[in-house]
Formats: sequence, structure tokens, C-alpha cells
Amino acid sequence: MFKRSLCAFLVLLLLLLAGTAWTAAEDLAGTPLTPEDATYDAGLFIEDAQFELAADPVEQAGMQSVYAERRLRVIEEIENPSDMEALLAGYREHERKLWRLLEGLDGANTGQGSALALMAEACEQRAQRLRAMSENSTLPEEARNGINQALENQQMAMVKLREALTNAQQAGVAVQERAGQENGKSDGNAGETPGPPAEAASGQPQGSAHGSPQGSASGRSSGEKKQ
Amino acid sequence: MRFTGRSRPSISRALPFVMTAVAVLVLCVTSCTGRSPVQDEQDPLLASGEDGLSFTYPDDWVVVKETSRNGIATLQLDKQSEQAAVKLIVTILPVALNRDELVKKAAELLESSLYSVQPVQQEEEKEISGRRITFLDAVAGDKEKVLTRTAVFADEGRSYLLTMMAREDTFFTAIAELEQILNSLVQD
Repeated sequence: MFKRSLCAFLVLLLLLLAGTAWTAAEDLAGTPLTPEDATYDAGLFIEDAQFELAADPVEQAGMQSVYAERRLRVIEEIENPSDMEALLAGYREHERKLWRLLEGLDGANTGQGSALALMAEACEQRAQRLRAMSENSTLPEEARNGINQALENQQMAMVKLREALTNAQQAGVAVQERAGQENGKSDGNAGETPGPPAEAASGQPQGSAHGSPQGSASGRSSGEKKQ
Repeated sequence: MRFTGRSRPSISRALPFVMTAVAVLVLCVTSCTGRSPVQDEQDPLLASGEDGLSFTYPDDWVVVKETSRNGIATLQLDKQSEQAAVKLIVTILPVALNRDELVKKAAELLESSLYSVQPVQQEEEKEISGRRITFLDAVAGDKEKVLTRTAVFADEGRSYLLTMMAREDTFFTAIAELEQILNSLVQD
């Protein structure tokens, strides 16, 4: 009985946490400006300007995810169909930039896993909403084609997000293992010489890169420097 | 209509709003102090003498984007140098809004378009070149903070919103340039 209650509580807690994360991602989008707003163009310029001022690819990817969310919200509420094409083009561009940025990420983005997970969740939500829209038979053919193209970019972004997440997770595990080894070393194992932490974490045999069976972390790095 | 200066694409196509423009807006984006943009012939000039719109700006600034829709003109100037990247977005509305409406519009603009923005602060009001200008500040970004200062005012049947954006490390230099621009505004 107690176990069942505990399970129910944990499930509820997980659902609440997931809800909180999604709300947080949605909140970042704010109330988007529409093409009817006098400052709509200025808003688009400001979005691009902030993107250009940023240098961190995960931050930039977060921006594109939020900008895509804004365009999609306007598309969903749009009253003037003539704006649809431009909005969809803008939306596709944000998704394209998103997956391009994610493509460039490497395993070094440890600690960004939570940001990437939020993006993945938001991306999946957008894909669902787009699919629902594409099934709306009252929409003109052109609009549905535009939505389908947007879905293609969306799928690409999802693939890249999953890859980036896996990389971030693997990098996180490697860092943890390295930290564990460092701790082990400082716990009185100074006399022992463990293999290079990075190699140990990646499973690569020691010294294999240089064909030396006695390679060590310091030896390898000095060898690389010489090259 | 006459346009000169560096811009891409042609500003004459992108700014038909100048056909009805009454105001002369001279933007002098310069690091020098106290010099008149009209007097300085070295600054590139982007001007429409007939329609009363002109901008002057130094060599390290360039007009990168401009649009015109329903009489609303929007343009962006970038300053690119090794030390700093600063962006200025100018919006000119064909109606003179009162101060409260302008402040509300500027706050909406910032909150709706900046990424991960903190609450917009209404900083101060200043009298510059005979105009009552209100400033709003906002900080945006998660890991990488971008600071913005927006100046809003109405004059001669038009409303102006100028948003300066820069990274934290260069923002305070950028502010000085925004004040310089506002000091140099000239109207027929």
C-alpha cells in the first residue's frame, strides 16, 4: 500500500517537474508580436541582433528554439492568411538554424544537457502542433505544403538534438569518471600510475595512438605538442 | 529623391515612407564629441534631401537592414570593430504617441523580442535637443548577457524608438554613442 502511494507520488512529481520545465521553455517566448504590430519588424531585427551578439552555440540554439516558438504561436492564431507564407518561412529558418547549430556541437558541452533537454521537449511539442495543423483540411494547399516543409526541418532539428543530448550525456559520464579517478588518486594512491583519464573513459587503449605500449598521459601530450 | 552612402540593399526601394516624411532625422553615430554631423563631410551620408530624411554615420557603421510597412520604417545600423559589436535598431512610426503609450510600446517590443529578458526598467527621462526622451533598459540572455537601452520620443507627428544593443563589456561605451546620436537629431 505504502509502495503504491510512493510510486503514485513519484509519478505525480515527475509529471509536475516535466510540466514546470515545459512552462519555463514556453515562458521564454513571451507574448509574441504579430505582423499587425507596429514594432513587428523591429522585433525581428532585435531577435537577430541578440543572436548575432551571442557566441555560445547552446545559447544561440536556445534563442532559435524560442524564436521558432514565437512564430508558431502567431501562425496558430493568424487571422490574415497572406502573412502565413512569410511566417512559415521564418519558422523554417529558425528550425534550420537550430539544427545547424546543434550539428556543430561536440561532446564538450557538458553541463548543457538540461538546456538541450528543454529544447528537445519544446521541439517535440512544436512538431506535434505542426502535425495537427497539417491535418487541418480547411487550410489552403500552399499553407499545408509550407507546414510539411517546416516539419522536415523540425525532424532534422530533433535528430540533431538527440545527438547533442547523447554527446552531452557521454561527456558528462566521462567527466564524472575522470573526477572519480582524480579523487581516487588523491585518496592515497599517489604511488600508482593509472592510465590517462580521458582514454580510460573513452575506452581507448593506452598509447595506441602512437603505437607505444608504455604511453602515458604526460608522454602523449608532450608527443602531440612536438608534432 | 536622393540617397547616398553605404547601405545594402538600396534604401531608396526600402524606404518609401520618406515620401510623406516631414521630419528630418539626422543620426550621427560618432565617437567624437561636440561635432556637427552636417559639418563633418568625412562621415558617410545617407540622405534624402527632398523628403527630409538623412542619416550620417562614421565609417565603422553600416546600415544592414531596412524595411517599410504601412508607413512604419525600421532600420538597423551595426558598428563593427575589433573592440566592439554594437547594434542600433531605429523605428519611426507615422503617429505621435503620448509618452505612456510609447513607453508601453517599447516595453512590449523588448519583452516580446529579446531572449530570456529580465523585467524592463524605465531608467530616466532627459531633455535632449529640446525633446523629452524616455529611456528604458533591459538585460537579456542566459549565459551571455546582452544589454539594451531604448530611447523613445515623439516629435512632429511621428514617434521614434531607438534601441541600442551590445554585450556587457561594451555596453557603456555604446550608451555614450546613443546619447551622441540623440544630441545630433536635427529637424527641419
